[in-house]
Amino acid sequence: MKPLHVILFAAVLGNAGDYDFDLDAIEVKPYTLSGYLKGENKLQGLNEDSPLFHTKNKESMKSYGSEGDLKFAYFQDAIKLDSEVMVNYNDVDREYSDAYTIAQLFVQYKFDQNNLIEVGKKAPKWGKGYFVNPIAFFDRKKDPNDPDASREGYVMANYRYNKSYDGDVRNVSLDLIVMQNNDHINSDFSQKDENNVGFKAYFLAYDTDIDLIYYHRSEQSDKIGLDFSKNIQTNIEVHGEFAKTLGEDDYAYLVGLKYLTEFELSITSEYFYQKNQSSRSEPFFDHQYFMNKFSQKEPFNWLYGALYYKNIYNLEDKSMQNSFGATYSFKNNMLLDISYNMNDGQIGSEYGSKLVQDTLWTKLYWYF
Amino acid sequence: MKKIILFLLTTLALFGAESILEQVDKKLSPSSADSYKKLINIEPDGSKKEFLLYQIKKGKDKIVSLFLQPDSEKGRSTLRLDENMWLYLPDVGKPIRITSMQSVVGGVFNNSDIMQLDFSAEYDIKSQTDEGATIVLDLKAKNETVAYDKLLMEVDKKTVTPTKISCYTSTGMLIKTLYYKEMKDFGGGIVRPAVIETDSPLYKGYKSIMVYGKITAREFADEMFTIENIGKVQEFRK
Repeated sequence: MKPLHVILFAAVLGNAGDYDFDLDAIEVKPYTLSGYLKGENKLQGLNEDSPLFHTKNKESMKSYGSEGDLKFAYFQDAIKLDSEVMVNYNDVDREYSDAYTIAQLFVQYKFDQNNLIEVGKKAPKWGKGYFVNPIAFFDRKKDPNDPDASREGYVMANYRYNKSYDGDVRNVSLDLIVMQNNDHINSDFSQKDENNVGFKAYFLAYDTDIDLIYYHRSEQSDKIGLDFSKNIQTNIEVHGEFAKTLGEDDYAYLVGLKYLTEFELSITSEYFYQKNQSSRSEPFFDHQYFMNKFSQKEPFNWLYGALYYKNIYNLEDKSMQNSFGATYSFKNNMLLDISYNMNDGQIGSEYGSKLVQDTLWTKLYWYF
Repeated sequence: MKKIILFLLTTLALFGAESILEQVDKKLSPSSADSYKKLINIEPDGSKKEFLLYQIKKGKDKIVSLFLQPDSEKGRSTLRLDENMWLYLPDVGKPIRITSMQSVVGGVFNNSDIMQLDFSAEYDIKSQTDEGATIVLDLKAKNETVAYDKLLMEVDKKTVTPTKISCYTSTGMLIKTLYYKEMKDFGGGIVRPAVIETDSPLYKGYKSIMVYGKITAREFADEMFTIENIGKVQEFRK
């Protein structure tokens, strides 16, 4: 029996540290501080067929970038100060540039559990789409290469009413946004100086997220929008968005789904259509796109690792962008993301005209 | 007369008395409470990764979690309202609907283990067997949205808390086993296992441990469990 005792004792000792709980780690502070430092490298092959090729006229381009992101919030009673600052430094073929951006800086005042107001620079991030959000009327557009990345907001005032219920409608939330844009404030929001008022009603009804939006602009036609998101099974979510300019033949919509297989392959598929093309410099400027992302979590029991494949397909000109990548989350708060990205299409097509043909992109994040 | 007594007892058992599963739920957590727990993923080579979570729970169907550590996960929150589940990432800055089968932290625990609602809210007792010091409950999911179709729960009669739970798919495949251990008095009349260990035939050699550090009975407004507040959980800590 002695050996058994020894084994049991050793087993208890082996877990003793794991079972301890450091109560100092849960001390409540009146502030939070977090963020990341990112270093990235792009090795890019250029596309000789691109109309921009003459500006470079060489085979490849090397880019080094670094980004710092700092989020700080301070709480006192009903007031919260929330902020996010981003600093960038880039080197593209030895052409250096830097930028300093206050992405968000706003004050929140909570009147009670149901009513609050937020004033300052913030990004409301409306919409359910992963790649693109036609109803994100008060946001900057997403970067299709990095849809999850932080984005700079606009200066606005946002009043919110939020109420929970029992029954089929579990939650109702109303948002009123008031925002001005001119040469002095939110100057890059729109080409026309105007006053903007947005009203959004959110419902969690019958286990479905639903948003209804009315957007009034003083100098242009008003817009309406709606979105929804629902889990139709434990592993399938469907979502959609619709936006329309009133009195004009102008609308856009998106439908999509997320599907998780038994072996943890996440599939995100979205179809986006817009009646009118937007400026060619913008992402998703053409009429219709089909976007897919396949992400395999922990392949071959590779804990904290993932493989992904992403495809953005312009259905009008049959050009596309493909990305193959891998991520690994280290135990020391570092995340590595390496991907190979390739633009493909006929001469004159959207992705066939890109200056960059292919990119080996390495990103390393350190979170704090 | 015997028939009448039998009928009355059956009626009482069906409608009046609290089921053993509801008693287990009550023992594991007050109906409204906040808690701190850490998760440890242990790999076959012995290397570990720790996560620290703050959770608030209300009633049978509302729970929200906030990651406090490690730094790479800080500020990440998960809200569960009945079978609806959302994830909030600070960089993304808005809630995204997720499924209960998805794993937020990697390793053997998935969302539904970490965001466990009351067992009686998700499962019906199919049968129960008295085995001396323990009662074995055969539990069947109330609907298809529950992460595991079937649970075999061994309940210690003395403490009315689980000692072991085996989780199965609808096809009878064992997904994982949870071991409840280390009874601890958290104060306020809360006495329950402080540690849950799990292993899985799907993750051979891997082990995950959940350790409760603090559980406090506390009242919360229903609005704290809404997607408008999923990014503000930090403000609820006291």
